[in-house]
Amino acid sequence: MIEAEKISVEFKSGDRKINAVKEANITIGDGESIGLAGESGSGKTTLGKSLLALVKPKEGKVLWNGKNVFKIKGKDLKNFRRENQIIYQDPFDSIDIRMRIYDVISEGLTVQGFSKQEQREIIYSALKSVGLNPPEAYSNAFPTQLSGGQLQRVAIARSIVLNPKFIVADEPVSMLDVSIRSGILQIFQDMKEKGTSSLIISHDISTLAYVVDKIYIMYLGHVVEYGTTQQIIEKPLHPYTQALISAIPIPEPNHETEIKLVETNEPVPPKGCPLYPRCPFRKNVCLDNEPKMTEVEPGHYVSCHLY
Amino acid sequence: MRFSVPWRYLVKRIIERIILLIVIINFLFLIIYIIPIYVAHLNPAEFYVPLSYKGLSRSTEVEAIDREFGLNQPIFVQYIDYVKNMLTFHFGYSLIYDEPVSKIILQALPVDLIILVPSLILSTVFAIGLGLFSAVRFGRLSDSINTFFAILTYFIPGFWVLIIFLQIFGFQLGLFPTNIAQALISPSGAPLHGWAYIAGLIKFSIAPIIILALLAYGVRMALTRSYGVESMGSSYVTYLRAKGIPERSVVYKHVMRNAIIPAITRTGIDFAFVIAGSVFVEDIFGFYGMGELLYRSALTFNVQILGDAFYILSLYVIVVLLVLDFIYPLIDPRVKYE
Amino acid sequence: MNRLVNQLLHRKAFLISLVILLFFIFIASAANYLTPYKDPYTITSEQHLAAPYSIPIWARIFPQYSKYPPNTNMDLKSPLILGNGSESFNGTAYTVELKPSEYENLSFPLSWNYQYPYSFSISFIAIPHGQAAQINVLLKQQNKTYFLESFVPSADQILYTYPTCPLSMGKTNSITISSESLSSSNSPYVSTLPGNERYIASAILPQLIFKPGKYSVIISIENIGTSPLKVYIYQPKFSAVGRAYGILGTDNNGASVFAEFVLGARFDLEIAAIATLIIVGIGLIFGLVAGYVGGKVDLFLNALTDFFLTIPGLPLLITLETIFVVSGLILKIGIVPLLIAIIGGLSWMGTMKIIRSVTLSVRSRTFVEASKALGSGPFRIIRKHVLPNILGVVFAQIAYDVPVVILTESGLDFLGLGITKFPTWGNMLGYASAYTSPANGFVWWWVLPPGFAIIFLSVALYFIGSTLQDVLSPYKVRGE
Repeated sequence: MIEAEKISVEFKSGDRKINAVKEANITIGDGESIGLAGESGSGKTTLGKSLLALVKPKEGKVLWNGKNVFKIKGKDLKNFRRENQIIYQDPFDSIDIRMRIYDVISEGLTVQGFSKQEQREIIYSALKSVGLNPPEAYSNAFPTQLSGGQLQRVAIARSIVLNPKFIVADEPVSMLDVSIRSGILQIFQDMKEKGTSSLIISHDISTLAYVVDKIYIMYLGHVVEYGTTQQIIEKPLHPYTQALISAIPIPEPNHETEIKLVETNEPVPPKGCPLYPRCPFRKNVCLDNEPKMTEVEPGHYVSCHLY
Repeated sequence: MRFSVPWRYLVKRIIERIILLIVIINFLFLIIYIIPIYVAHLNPAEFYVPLSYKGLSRSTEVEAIDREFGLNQPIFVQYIDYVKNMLTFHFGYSLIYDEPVSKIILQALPVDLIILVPSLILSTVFAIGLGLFSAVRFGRLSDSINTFFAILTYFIPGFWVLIIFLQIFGFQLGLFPTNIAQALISPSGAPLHGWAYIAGLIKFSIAPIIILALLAYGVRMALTRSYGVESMGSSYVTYLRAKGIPERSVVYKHVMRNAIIPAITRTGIDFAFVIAGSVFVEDIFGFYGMGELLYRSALTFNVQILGDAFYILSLYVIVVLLVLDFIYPLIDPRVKYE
Repeated sequence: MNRLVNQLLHRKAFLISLVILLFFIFIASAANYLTPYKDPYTITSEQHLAAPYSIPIWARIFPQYSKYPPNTNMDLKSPLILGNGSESFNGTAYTVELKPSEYENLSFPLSWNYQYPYSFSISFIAIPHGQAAQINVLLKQQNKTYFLESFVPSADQILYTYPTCPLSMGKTNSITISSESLSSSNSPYVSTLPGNERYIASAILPQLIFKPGKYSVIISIENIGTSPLKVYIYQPKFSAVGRAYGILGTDNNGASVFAEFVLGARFDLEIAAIATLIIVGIGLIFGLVAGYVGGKVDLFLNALTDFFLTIPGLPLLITLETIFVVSGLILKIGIVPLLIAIIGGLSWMGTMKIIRSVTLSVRSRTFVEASKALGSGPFRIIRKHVLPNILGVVFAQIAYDVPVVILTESGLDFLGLGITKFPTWGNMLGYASAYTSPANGFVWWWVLPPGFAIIFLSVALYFIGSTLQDVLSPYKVRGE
């Protein structure tokens, strides 16, 4: 139901241009939970935000129920916003600390035209469902009085009160203590069971593996591989994916990482594969030709000249 | 460190400044010609005739000026003429002063520099000295007092201090001559020459120079202090201390180098605007510089000189700023070329 | 909100500043009650209240001013009677009855504890019944007698070698002898002075006559006719225009400096408030739009701001104002609105730059994007998120802009290019500077108050502004 076609995003910094996302395609079906992995700077967040029309791409379009989300206006836009939500990485920055928790959560409801009466009920039940009990105590508090984990729950509550069909979660647990991560991830699990589709962005592929059905791997703005969680974890094809998975610490003293990327200052070839400078398996063809996305097994796609 | 000339940035700056100059000329044309003619229904020729003029009837005179200055031409011809005259410094002849305007301006311009440049230098010395003093004593009482006085100088009306000073030390105590004419004659009334002339000038200028410096150092002192404090807290200073480099040397060699750059660059900007703010000191101490010229022209409604003096002041600002654009990259490697 | 007020009240600089600001607001708004005067510059009856350059009354605590006289008005009472006629007093009038060539002196004691006054006058009403009377008015101190004026019937004036004034027999004569009107043609004493003093007698008489000590005002009545004379003397009074007046003394016109000061305070605060609204209005709108919308709009607004920042401000102000005056447009607009418009219109740039930069930084915060993701439009985001977060800066800018407006406006007034017709702090200083010369010394009570007022008000606003910015800044709210 949300489909991105050849999205390219460019940022300008002074005279320099940075391609944050390059011709990325991604499809999220109803009720699907998708993971987007890659190291920092790979363009995951930018891609996630452009799905919600929060970043304007240079090229490409995002279709929501067949409508281009960058063109919709008025009532359509409002509905689009209600049905598609986002949760940010840093709850301290994504919540205006001048507002009480109640007002933070009610903002979306107010904008979407819910009456005051309706709001109170929805907000209290949302606070309960994200584990902030009793809701009366939290709703009057200021963000400064809450911990990071509690704030992230507030941020989630703010999104789910609108009863969205799709949620982008941008590194929702990376800023939180390990001890409270599982609680937050459980909320996503619950949402998934309710049929909400989601795009969970993370640099940590192991976290993703617990919650998502499919994983997309990004490198330097390119989607380099995607498939079901099982396919990606058990049979990573792209050298970069392999390196990512090798990097997951495994509690075995003699375990050796299999793939290591090359540390280098070599520039990325303008026409070739973005991984070329760091790839341990690089070939001449990789320098001049960018690999195309190919289906290696059903539902498992990779863009690499090795396949 | 290799220094590369940021050509793109410089060319961009030159173009910007030229556009600014053109805009100012247009703006002047607007307020000196368009507004009087079209809004106030007034003949600009009126501005050229001395109010006290006697002889030919005023309307005959105005007509003659119309012809002489081309003021009866269509407005776009006048516009072209005006732009051309401004760009080539043809300011015409002042009937009120009975002298060419360019001569009047050329006489006034250097007078400013006698007082303004030394006071600017002196205030920079105050700013850096007191700024470093405070930075080293950050958070202590002496720092608070020092900073408070610097802030205070933002808000002290300069003309007020000048008249108080003039009245107490000039009139009451007679410590220095109260106007420049008095300063440049000997007790017997003969004009001074040579060294005596210069000595008289210095004796007269020293008070306004010091006062102006004391009133102007505040902003740059605050700059020096805050950069100094920042620099004192930076990890490389901690590193220098850890290496055992004496505190004195850390402060005067390393911190100072970073802390004074903002004050110096700011001095450049102040230099650009210094003449513009000289009206008060010139009026109170009787210097006949650009500020006083502008002021007298305003008092006597001499629009012709007013416009030209304003143009020259703006041009001066633009030229100084342009020169600064070229100098800044040399003294401050952190300047961004954007 | 309570937390903010609490924080504010715990800062000494803020409290002191607030008290200073409130003081100025109080004297400005209570100006009508603090002083009876409306405009000492143009209403002549509000001038010459005391000597020009009178010191403040309280300044007499300083030794060099201790003997300066205040304005004095007193009824002359309990005279010492000397002479060979008969005299009676019924509570309102002295009745003097004289046979021919008899005389009677009413010698009123006057104890004068001061230095010389600016001027003095002696007045009374005399009704002489009879053929002819001479009424002499004298001032006496110990062994010195000053024969101020002599009144005789006009027919007899020719008989006297010294100057006399006419007296109407049988009618009411309102007699006022004022130092300012005495001259060698009407005063015997003045006519005995050396030539050069004679011409400036009206100015120097008080100095010649008065020093601390016991004086007597003598009204001497003599029957110069051949039949009995009866003279009624009513309401003898002595008054002196002093050289110490009011809370802040007087200016060169003898007008109350205190009146000018409070009227000036009212005007300065008014103009500062309105011009600041204009400055913050333009600065806030341009800054918000440039910072929030960004792109080409930002580029344009920023270039416009840079243009105004590069033009030398004070010369532009002077040039613009002159054009308006010369072209007569000032008559349509009026000087005050013009000044407000020009000062406001040329001072918004700094505010715009700062608002723009804080808006930029707030706009890049995630909660703004989050609000957009919830469906908020730009106006809602600006109202609910951007404005509350930059509020501290806006308040601070208001506090920083007021002093700039006051300084600029005062500067123009000082130069005589702004308001000259009614009192402002700026033109008080301008006149104080123009009318003081080595001769009248340092008129500190005229020069110092407006200057200190400008500084105190400015510094107070500065500290209020920086405290507000500090307390309202998001980092403080967050408790970091």
